[in-house]
Amino acid sequence: MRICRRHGALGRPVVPLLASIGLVMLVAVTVPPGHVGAQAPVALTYYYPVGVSGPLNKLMTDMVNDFNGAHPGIRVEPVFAGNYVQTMAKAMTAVLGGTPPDVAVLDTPELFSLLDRDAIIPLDDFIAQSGGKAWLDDFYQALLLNAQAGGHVYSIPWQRSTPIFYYNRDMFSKAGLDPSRAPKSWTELVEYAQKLTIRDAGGTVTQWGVEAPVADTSPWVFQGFLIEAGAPFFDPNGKWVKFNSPEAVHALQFILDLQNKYQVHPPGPTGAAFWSQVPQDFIQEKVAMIYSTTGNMTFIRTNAKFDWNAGFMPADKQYGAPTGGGSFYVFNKTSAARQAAAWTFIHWMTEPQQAARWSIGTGYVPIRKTELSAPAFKDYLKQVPQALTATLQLRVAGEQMTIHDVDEIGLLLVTAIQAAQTGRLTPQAALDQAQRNATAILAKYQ
Amino acid sequence: MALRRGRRRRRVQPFLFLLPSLVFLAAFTYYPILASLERSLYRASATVAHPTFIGLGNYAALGTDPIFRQVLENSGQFLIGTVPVTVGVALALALLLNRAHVLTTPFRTAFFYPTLLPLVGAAAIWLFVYTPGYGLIDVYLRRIVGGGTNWLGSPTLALPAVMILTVWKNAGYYMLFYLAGLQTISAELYEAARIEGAAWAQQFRAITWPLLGPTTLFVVVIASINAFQAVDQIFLMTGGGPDNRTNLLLFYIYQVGFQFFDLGRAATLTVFLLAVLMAIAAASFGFLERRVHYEV
Repeated sequence: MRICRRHGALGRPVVPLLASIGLVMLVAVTVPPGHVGAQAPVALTYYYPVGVSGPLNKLMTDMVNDFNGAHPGIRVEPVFAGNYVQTMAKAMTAVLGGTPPDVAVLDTPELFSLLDRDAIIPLDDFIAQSGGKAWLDDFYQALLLNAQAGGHVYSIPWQRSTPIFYYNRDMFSKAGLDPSRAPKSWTELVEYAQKLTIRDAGGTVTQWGVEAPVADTSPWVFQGFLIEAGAPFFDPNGKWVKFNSPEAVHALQFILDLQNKYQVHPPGPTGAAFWSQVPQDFIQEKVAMIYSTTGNMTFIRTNAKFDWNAGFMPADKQYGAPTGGGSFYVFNKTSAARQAAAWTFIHWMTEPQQAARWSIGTGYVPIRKTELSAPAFKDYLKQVPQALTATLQLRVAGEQMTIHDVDEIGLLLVTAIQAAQTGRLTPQAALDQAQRNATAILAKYQ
Repeated sequence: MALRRGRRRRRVQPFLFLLPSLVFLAAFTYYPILASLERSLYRASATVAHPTFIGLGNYAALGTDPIFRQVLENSGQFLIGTVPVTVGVALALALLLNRAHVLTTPFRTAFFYPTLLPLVGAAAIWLFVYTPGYGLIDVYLRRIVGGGTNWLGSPTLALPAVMILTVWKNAGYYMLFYLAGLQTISAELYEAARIEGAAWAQQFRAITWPLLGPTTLFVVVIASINAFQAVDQIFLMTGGGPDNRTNLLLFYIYQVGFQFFDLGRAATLTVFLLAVLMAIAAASFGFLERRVHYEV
């Protein structure tokens, strides 16, 4: 065989020789330095994800450098680890390999997955040392909902977000709508969207009324619709879900109605590409109203060439939105000294002026009440009054689904929504199927 | 004595030369294969500290997993949709560009160019190309058949959309193999054919195609293996959606292993993929080898 012979030609003696040298060198560089000086700072490995657009890596590196400068006894080494899914995969792989990171920002609903693996430690003692309840109460309660399990606090909010409702005020004025407020209810949303959907002579839509990435790779935005419809869809202890309640079917039917009955939302399944397309469509003026994360506010602010505003996600039975985004976790099986150093890092990062710096640079919501009175944040609100909307919406926000095997079960819900959007299954049948499969997966935790 | 030592050295020496590659193969190929085989017999999840032995339970569970069935169907469609088309396009390009002309080099470069792009970069570009409303395809398609086609969001178009990118990305690479293959065919054969009055189609059927047999075999094998290893574009463009319609085998392994942390099931899927790849290799190098023509 010719191909094989070509490979065979490599078998000249010089090649293995070179390979051997290479191997020796590889071993030489991977051997860790033998001695670490006694006064050497505690080196912490810190995994962090980047989940939204913008130069977040640089800001994170700057902040970590500032921390290291102010704390000679600690040296935090930031490791950019991809998006949330990739960061979680890296962290879990490291835990399985017996070399956990010291501290990481992970998607907050991973709580039970981390606990099931015994990967993280409760933070109650550290919190008590840092001012206890008074310190913790300064954080927004909605953000702490899925930080707790069994009476312990396991994570501290960091880059938290919530989906909010962005709208193009110029388009509102053109359509004769009041540009000072967003639609308040689902019914009003339909009315507004009908006025804002524009078709050309051939019937092709040139401007959509609304776009909602209800299910991309996670059912995050859809959870807002579930909360608004009054559907309690998961167990706070993480052991059951209820995807096929009449309220949940009603919520999914509403999405389908926007797409098919009223035709004010692009048809078909809202896939992974749709998540990043939605803010693009908004700044390109292809759509009047969108649901998107507060994390995209900076992107929209810097790119929109029109007057825009942000409002609450319209209500059905009630207002509602899930929280989202990442929180700080401290890992198990390192050492007491490293865990204490990790806490010092978390405590410093979440100080109001540092947290404000992160919120302003990224668009993530303020995590603490005192952050709002930080001078830098006050200036920011003067420039971007819309940023306050997200904070206000936090008062009506519900908990993001936080359960065992949350990624797998979340994807079941994504698949159900998409199956209904393609018309393969009815909303009821799709959600019934997701419910059956989720119950089977969760059986092992009962 | 000295003679024997010399002989022993000659016997040991080749193995010493093999040692470096053997170390790497053992560490990164053989050990992972054996470890996957073993782990596929356990119910092992990252969230459970101690795996339990369940024999072939994971394999049985695959039989009833509806997503796995969908994934197999997708992977089959992806294989059938990409391999013949890629090979056909590559051959056509090679035939067109196998001549001395001023424009040959620029064209060869142009068609080879997608190969130089990292697949991740290409996928990011095509993500924009497929965007409804203002993406490249939709903008031009709107003038002909009306716009608004949501390529990556449609359950029927999403997989073909990913296939188009894959063909675009790979055809230029396989074209190179065909160009090399065409160079080895002796010009005398064509001269003889022309003297006999053979038309282009006859020359192709009687000379070009049979003598390109080894190249075609090689390209088909590589393309088939690539089809089962496709993951970057899925990762970037669709996330396996909508409704699992673009979920391919390797992406599903990633999901099960690194998103669901169900290590036993991921190992089982890995063993399955391995079996598929070995079957392709065995089929091509065993059965097909007898049928392709080799020049002496």
